[in-house]
Amino acid sequence: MKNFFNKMKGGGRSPPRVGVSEIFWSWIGSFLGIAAVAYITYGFLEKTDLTLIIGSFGASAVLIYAAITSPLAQPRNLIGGHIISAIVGVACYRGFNETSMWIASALSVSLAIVAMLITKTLHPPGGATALIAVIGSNKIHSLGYLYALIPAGLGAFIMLIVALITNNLAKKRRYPEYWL
Amino acid sequence: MEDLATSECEEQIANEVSVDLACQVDEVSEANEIEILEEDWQEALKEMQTYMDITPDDLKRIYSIALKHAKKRIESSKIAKDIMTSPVITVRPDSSIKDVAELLLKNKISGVPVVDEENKVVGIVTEFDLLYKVKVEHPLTFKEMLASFFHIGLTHKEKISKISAKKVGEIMTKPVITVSKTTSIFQISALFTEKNINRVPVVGAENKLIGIVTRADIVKALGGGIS
Repeated sequence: MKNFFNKMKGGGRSPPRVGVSEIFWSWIGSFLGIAAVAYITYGFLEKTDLTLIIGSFGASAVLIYAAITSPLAQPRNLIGGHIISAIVGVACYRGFNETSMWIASALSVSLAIVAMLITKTLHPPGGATALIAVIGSNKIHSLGYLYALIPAGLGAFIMLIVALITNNLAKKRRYPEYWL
Repeated sequence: MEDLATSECEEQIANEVSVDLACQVDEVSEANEIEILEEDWQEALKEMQTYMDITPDDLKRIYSIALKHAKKRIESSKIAKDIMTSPVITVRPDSSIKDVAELLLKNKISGVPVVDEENKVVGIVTEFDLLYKVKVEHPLTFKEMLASFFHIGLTHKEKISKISAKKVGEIMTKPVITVSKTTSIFQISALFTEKNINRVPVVGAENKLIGIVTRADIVKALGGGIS
């Protein structure tokens, strides 16, 4: 029992702060990445049933523009994580929305995590993508399984293109670490 | 104490006296035991110049696990004892050059350790010593020299008898680079390259000869798989 609480003390130190150029490139990348999907959404898709932006892309931006060496930020995880989680999320909504929304919500995130771990595509924003499929707007709900491709898959893909360009423009950066 | 041992090592290497086994082994294990402090990990993360998705603590843990595996791999790999040839063909310092030449030819080898009465290694004599060192003192052509060992060209009879009568002790290479029976195959192959030699005697206590490792032994051992 004592050990249990001792474990909560931590004890290590937090990693150092990154340099100014790193901060700059993280900013420019995330600005352009979100700009791309937001511009398409608000410029062209507003009057349609489609959208290209979901909340979880904000989280993806943190990873693929600011923590670019992390396994969680690699293309496999970014694309795979969003698509797989989206499918899980839609399935949970369809299966459980009439029974219980809280069960559908909990199942969507937890099963999405399991699915990402199994497929080696763990990408934290994927959890949000799965949850949005359940708690999202009617517009999202009416997309059905298309949600996995648009916005989840395509949006992530566009952000990946921006990441490939901006991250490699920086002299000291290299992205990705691996593709598959 | 440690400093003393290290400086002894350096001295030995500098003098190219038997690059001791123990010295080299110690250096390796010392390197493994360098303690990396908290600030070193912080510095390393800083030098990566990008946000690393890992805490210094995890980094340390991964490093120590990897180190454990590396040590296990090195320990389980082959050492001199496993690949050496033993017993060894040897000569005495007072053997004649002619005898050595015949010995090399008969056994199809290109060098032999020279040992004293107590089987302590005092030198090593190779084809190179026979050809080069003898030639320097007695200006003979390569052909003449080969012939001289077998009394083929009798035109240089005087010179020949003089050369053949010379003792091994006069032309052998000394001091000799040696290894212990626990020296790893990796260290031996590094030694071969570094010192540009082809064979190294394996010695035990008091420099007593127990075996010999040649380049061929290394190749053979690698072919058999170090795993």
